[in-house]
Amino acid sequence: MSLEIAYAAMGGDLETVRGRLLTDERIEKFAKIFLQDTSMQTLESALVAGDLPEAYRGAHTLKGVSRDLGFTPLFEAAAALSDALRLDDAGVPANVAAVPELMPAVRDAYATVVDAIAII
Amino acid sequence: MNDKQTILIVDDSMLNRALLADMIGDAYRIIEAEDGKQAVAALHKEGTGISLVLLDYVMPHMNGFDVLEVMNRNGWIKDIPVIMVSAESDAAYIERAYELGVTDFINRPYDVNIVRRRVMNTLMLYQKQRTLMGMVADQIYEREKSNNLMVYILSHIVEFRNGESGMHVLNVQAMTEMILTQLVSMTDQYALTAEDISMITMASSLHDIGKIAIPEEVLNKPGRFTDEEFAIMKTHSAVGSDMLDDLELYKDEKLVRVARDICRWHHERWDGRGYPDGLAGDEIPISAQVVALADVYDALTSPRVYKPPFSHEEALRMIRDGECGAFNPLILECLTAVAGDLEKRLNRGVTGREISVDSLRLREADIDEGAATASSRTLELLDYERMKYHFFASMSNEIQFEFTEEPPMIVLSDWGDRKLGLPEIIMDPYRDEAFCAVFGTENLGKLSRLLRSTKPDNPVIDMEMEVTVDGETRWLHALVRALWSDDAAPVYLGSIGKFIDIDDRQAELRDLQFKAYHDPLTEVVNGAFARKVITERLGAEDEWDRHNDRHVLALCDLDFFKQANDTYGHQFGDKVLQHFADRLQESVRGQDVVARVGGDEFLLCMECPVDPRPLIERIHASLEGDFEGFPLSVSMGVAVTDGVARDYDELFRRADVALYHKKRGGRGGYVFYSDLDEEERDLLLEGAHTALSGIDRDEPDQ
Repeated sequence: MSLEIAYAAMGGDLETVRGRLLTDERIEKFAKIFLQDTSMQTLESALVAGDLPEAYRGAHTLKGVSRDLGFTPLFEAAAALSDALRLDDAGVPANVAAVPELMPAVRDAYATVVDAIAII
Repeated sequence: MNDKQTILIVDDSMLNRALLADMIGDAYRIIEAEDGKQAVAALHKEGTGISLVLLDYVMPHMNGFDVLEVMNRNGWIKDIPVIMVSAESDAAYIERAYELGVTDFINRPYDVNIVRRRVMNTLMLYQKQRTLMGMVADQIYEREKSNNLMVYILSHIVEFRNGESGMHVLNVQAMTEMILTQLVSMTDQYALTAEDISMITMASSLHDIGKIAIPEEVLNKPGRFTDEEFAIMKTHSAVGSDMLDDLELYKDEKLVRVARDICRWHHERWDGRGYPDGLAGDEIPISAQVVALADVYDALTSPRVYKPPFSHEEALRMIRDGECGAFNPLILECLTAVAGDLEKRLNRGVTGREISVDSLRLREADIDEGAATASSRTLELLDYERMKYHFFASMSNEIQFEFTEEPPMIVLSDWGDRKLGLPEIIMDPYRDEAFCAVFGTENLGKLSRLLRSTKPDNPVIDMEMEVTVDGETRWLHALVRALWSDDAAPVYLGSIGKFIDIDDRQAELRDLQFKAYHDPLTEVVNGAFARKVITERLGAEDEWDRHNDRHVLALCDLDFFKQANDTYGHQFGDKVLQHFADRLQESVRGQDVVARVGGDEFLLCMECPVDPRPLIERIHASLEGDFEGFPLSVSMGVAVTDGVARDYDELFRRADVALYHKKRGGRGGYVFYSDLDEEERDLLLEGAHTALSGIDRDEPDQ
């Protein structure tokens, strides 16, 4: 039950994840491992340091794992940020100006996910 | 060996790696790499031990495409399948990935069933391909081998019955192959492939199997045949071909068909005057024509019950003159061409067949050319070579490396990186801080210049350099080979080489030196070294008068030492000596000499500008005492340099004389040579009983 509650709390899509990852044990296990994932920290500190390629890497990873685990709001926020930070062939991000607007949504969604996982 | 297949997961996110590993399941051995560099390192180390790579694209340092480029450059992509795992769905990205040789994609978000299926399919596809390649090669090889073996046995049965040496079949084989090879190099009139030559050579062994049906008394008759006997003998060629025709099941096998032609027609002649069918010219298959010539040549040059062997030259003359019937002029030309090699090749028991089987195995490579795949056998060999290389390299205590110019990257042997405190793979080493800190930019610049100034035909350089490892400097000897391209204007591609740590070697030398100069038990110096050092300190003889420094040489003898040995055993005795040596070291200054010069005899030598008596008194007092209940009583004989005696041997002798008197006059305490009266000094000079050579010097104290 706790898995359902946690996903409901974060607005995640548990049914699709069940279809892909097959067992609740696996979903639980990796939801908890998500707490050790450092991509959010990578993203934050890279933005502070102005290291845009590294920030892109953080956002990209966050996007990937939140999608795998069905953390839908976090996935959507991270995907938008990742698109803004995506580097072209010359290593220039697509839309740096949008980053300050996009970050709060990512932070909120991330905090919600972390809180929700604590229930499991 | 682990039977599980190994999968390399390359992803910068720990969560992604864990998730992929979990989904794939534990039927595989998983290696993880956090970035492209680690991935390349793992590929370097494990080679085709890795069955599959799951590769992420966005990673720090080297991204997924960089890894693929390295895999292409090293040819790994041909043998190790790669599945890209990424959220990217951009068409240009996917196209580029396929261009770089990836086998498949797994798209995010992950689905357990899809991941498992993709992994399994790819592994099976490659496994099947490897197995098939191996199986085909093995089957060809096995079939060739067993055919060859059967032919060999069969032909030997015939020879055995003929009373021939067994060499005949081998000689006919070898000569058949030589002539055929020569023939195709001269003309393409007969359209013989390498496989045809191989087949004819093998089948040539069977040319006389029909002789099995010839009665023994005819076959082995010494002397000339009667007409009737000769008629019987001549049936062997037709009988042989009938035997092969009767092989219902196999008569259409190419080997059997070729052998049949040879059996039937190897006594036909170019002019139509042979038997059994009287064929002429190229009505006779080329196989039979060649075997006929080989058969005749070997029969002429071998002994038979009815004739001695003819010489090589005589046999050639007889054949050319038509004494054994007419042959195709083209084949006679071939015979002339190979005549020089014939004597070398024949009668050695080396068959052409073995050579051919090997060449067939080599042809696997030709068949695959362009297909960019290697058989499992080749891969096994490669793995074996890799294992061997790693083993020997790790034993040699050398640091080996490969450097490529494009991309600029150095790979250090994995035991070497530990030794230097550097990672195994370093990108752009000339600009890598840690790498430059170890080797020094000056050294690297010099090395690079030396390598670039080499020539392709003389590409090896060596150089000694001082490097810094963990803050300590060490000397390395670098032996490096520059790699040049094969182009008309050679391009510098990189280098391979090794660093040999000569610091260790020098430490070893120092250790040996230490051992040579020190007493192993007490670790004070030995007599030989004491003599060398003291002689140096005393100075050259012709300068003695110019010295006004004063040296004291004392010989110290442990009283009653034999009792310690006898009562408590030698191990205790050794401990007493070690303890005594320590006390001696402590009682003098660092630059003074302490040496063990005999069983329980020690020597002290020190400079002493003032009256030496208080010094000796103090030293003696500090030596006396007790060691684990054994009383330490010490007798000393002392000599001091004066204007006359600055010679080591003289000083030693004087101290020895003084010690002798001390021991005779009651042990414990010390005597100065200068205190002895004339008689005491002389008495000993006349007698052989110096302390060292007499009394208790050889025999430790009573």
